[in-house]
Amino acid sequence: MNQDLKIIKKLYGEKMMHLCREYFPTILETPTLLPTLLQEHFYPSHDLYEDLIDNQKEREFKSYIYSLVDKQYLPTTSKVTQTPEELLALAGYDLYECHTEKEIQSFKKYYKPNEALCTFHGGRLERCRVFFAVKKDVANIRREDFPNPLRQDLYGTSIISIQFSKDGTNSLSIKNRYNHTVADPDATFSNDLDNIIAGLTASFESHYGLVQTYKSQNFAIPGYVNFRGRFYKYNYELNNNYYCPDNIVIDNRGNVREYNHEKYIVMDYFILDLVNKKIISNSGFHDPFEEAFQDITKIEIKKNKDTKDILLTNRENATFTITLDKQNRIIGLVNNYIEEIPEAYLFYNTALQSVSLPNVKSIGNDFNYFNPNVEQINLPSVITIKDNFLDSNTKLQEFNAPNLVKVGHNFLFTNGNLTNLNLPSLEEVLSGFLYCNHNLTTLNLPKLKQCGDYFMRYNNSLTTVNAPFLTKVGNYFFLLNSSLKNLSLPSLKYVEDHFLAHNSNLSSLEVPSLEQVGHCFLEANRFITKLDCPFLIKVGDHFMQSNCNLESFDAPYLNERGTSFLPMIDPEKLNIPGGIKR
Amino acid sequence: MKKYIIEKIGKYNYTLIDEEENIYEINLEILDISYHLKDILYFNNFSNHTQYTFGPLNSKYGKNTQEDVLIIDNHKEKIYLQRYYG
Repeated sequence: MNQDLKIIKKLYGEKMMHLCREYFPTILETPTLLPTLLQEHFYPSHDLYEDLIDNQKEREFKSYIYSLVDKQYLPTTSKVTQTPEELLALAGYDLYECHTEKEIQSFKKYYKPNEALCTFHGGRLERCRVFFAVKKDVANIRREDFPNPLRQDLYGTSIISIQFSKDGTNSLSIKNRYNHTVADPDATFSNDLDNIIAGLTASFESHYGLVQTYKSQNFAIPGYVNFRGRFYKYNYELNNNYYCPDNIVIDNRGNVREYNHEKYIVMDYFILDLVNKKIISNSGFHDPFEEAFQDITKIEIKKNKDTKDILLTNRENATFTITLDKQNRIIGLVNNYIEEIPEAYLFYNTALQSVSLPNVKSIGNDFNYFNPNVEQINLPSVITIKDNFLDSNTKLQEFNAPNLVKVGHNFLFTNGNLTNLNLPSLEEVLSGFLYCNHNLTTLNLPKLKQCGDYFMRYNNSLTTVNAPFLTKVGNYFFLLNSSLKNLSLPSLKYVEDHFLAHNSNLSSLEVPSLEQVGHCFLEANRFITKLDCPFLIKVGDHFMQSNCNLESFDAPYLNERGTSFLPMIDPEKLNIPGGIKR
Repeated sequence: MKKYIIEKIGKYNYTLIDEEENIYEINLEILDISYHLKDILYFNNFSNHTQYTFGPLNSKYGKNTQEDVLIIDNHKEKIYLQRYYG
């Protein structure tokens, strides 16, 4: 093996070595040049290859490295003489450029209505050059023959819209015929024209002048900081301080410091001083997590295969354990003695996966706010949780807090995947509760009394709800739920605006205690045929505006109603004081 | 969701700044909703020089999923939009 490739393999890993061998054969003909360039510009890391691939930065990386060397090392590219039309014809397509809105709209006929490109909304020519490539045999490619669509199957690629931005960068997007039915429809063929047919990128460059520009000085990889021309992978950035793997901190005064591995551990955005048994904080942000290190008397480190556990013991002989991954990010936390979690605890941490806080009774605002990755959490004693609890979490599937009574705003706001929720003591929640959840099928909150706005706004799976003591709900309660068919809320008295809006399949609603509702009650619901509200006194505007099937409505005490009250219903079917004058 | 502030509305690109003061040049199109400088956007993750189109919920151009929601906070109200593709 080439000696330079051996060095690259050692410093950056085997896959990076293969990539370099493929991309830079000319540079490798000059001994030491490539490993020198890499080390000058990339702090050694075996993660570099994966990070380039994950961020689709291989081609930019290639351009960047070539931009660092003299022209003599540049690869010679064969000139493409064929036009895009000619190349695409070889791939079985006819290519059209649209110069007018009318020309764009002429392609709309090829798309199923619910898969129409938003290009057809109009105005796309103001910001893009728009082409359509249509398979020559498009008439024989039928949507119904593709019940399980894949982005790059025959149908998805039978018509592609190739669009270049007009912002000077000619950024490319290749639109898929399935549109949003498949993932990433705007990146068909990975937005690489050469994946359609070799040479197509160069052909668009030479014949249409559409050069996709990625200037070398703009090269960047998410999660890397370019410090004085050298890229460092970092775990966290706070106040322009970068906390990197390998105990490196680049501070906001322009110093790169590698902390002695025997004496320190740089973990997340904390520097653990193993000798003095304390946290050194230089981020400018006080995370209350640091307070747990005030009375540490003993620190033990246990190394595992891919992780390490830090066991800390305090003066009272209580212990807690922090688990770090290979990059020294905190991924696990067990603390058996803490009872109160202050505001913004582990606020910026994004890697924590497992949390066990068995004695915690209260949790302040913004607990682990930015972290999507918690998969397990053990809070058997918690009673109150304030706002934005695990706000960014997407991984948690089960949440069990048998003693939880009250939660603040935006509880598990982003989590869509929770399937098991056990909150038998919960009495009150504020707005944004499980805002994005779409997997819960059963909701059992036997003690819930009131909830704020946007309660489970996006859930589309719920079929069973048990909330016998729910008395008061905020705006947009269960908005956009199409799976709920029956709902009984026997104690519900007060609801605000847009109650059960767009619950299109709800056919039975029992709210016998209802007294007062806001605007747009049961907006867009058509199927409820009977509604008994013996205590209803007041309703807002647009009450059941879309319902045309109501056969019986009993509200003998209703004395205040807004505009557009049951406009599609025969007044004879209504038992309300004074009837309705149309 | 990450928080971004609209710093500049250009002819083709929006300039956004996130809470870490990273600057994004985004080819952004927001349909049927008015927006202004310094409005706050909440979105999962913007990538530079990527084309994005957003518009009202429940449109035929949007997919009914929570993953692609954009929230515009115009300091008076929060407006929820969906990402449109194509």
